[in-house]
Amino acid sequence: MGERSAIPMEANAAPHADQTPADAARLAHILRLASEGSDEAWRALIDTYARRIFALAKSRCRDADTAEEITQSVFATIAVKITSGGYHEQGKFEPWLFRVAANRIRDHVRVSRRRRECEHAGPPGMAEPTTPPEPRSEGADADTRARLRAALVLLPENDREIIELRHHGGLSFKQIADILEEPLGTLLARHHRALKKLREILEHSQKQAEAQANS
Amino acid sequence: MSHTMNTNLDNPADPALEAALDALAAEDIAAAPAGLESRIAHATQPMLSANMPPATLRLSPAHSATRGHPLLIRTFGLRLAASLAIVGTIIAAIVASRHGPAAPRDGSPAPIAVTQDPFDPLSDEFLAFAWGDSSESSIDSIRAAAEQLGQRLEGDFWGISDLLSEEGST
Repeated sequence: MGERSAIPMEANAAPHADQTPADAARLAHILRLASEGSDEAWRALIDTYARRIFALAKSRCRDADTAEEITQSVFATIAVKITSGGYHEQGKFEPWLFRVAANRIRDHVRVSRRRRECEHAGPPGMAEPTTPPEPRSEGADADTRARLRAALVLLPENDREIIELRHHGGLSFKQIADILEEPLGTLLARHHRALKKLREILEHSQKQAEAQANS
Repeated sequence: MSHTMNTNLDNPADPALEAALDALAAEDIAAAPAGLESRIAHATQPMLSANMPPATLRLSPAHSATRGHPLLIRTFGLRLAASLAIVGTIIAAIVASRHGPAAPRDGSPAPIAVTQDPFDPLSDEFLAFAWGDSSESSIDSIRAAAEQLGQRLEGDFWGISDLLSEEGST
């Protein structure tokens, strides 16, 4: 099990794109083999999706160990479900997988927030960052990413989830709509509003940074 | 629906921002530790090869003990054997305590203490009640059999018949 799978599967070849029929057929085949206990097929699924789920979890938790733990727990759930007949392939494996991941991440965030609230009972209504700040790296791009990360933390939970499913999960709008069980039009509107809020937060923080630099 | 909203699934609403978010995601994907996939595969392998949930779920009501969980059968068997051993020991102790010393080795008959306590398992009343036959010959034969059994049990279980014989002879 230590080597990469020999079953070819494109790992996020076209981010945000819906699956082609050929991709869907290949995935269905691999899922069937995995449900019959094939190590190779199971490894192909892990190779394809583990890093995307890890990135999704890390974006929220900012801790690599926690993100790995969440990723492992998601695959443990999937392994049990597909081998015990708890999943019936209907061409919606990715939405299902990422829904399990999103739920697991939400649970983790909820528990850590509660723990933090118990440890530091601060004034109510104050928007606190949910994660420790990222270590600053050198360069303009790194600075932009650090500001973007800080802005994401300030976004409401629901908006942030859509953006992270889209970019870290590499999912299409249709798949995200499936995961969140919302009509596609509603999801597009929410995504648009989320980006707008993010842009406003970024511009506000930019102005603050410039004001601090001038003073 | 606002006319500024992105209604085309392929066109980003804010291309620069979306490109920056993609770069952020790429950074997080690249931050995945080496060997992540191998560790996940190793950790989830038992769940895959077992082809079913862990053993605790086999003990759910849907899977009754009669369908044969080896651990349950073993546990039940051990408990039954232990119970039988305890009951057997108690019966042997009762019989032996009522019987008295075993017969000496020189062949002379051992003194037998026969009580007429109605709760004595070897009393006439008890034997007549237990066997439904109050005739004297029947009671005598049953008592003789019980005494013989008691002698055997005493010798086998307690191992003191030799000691008692020595005490009796001196």
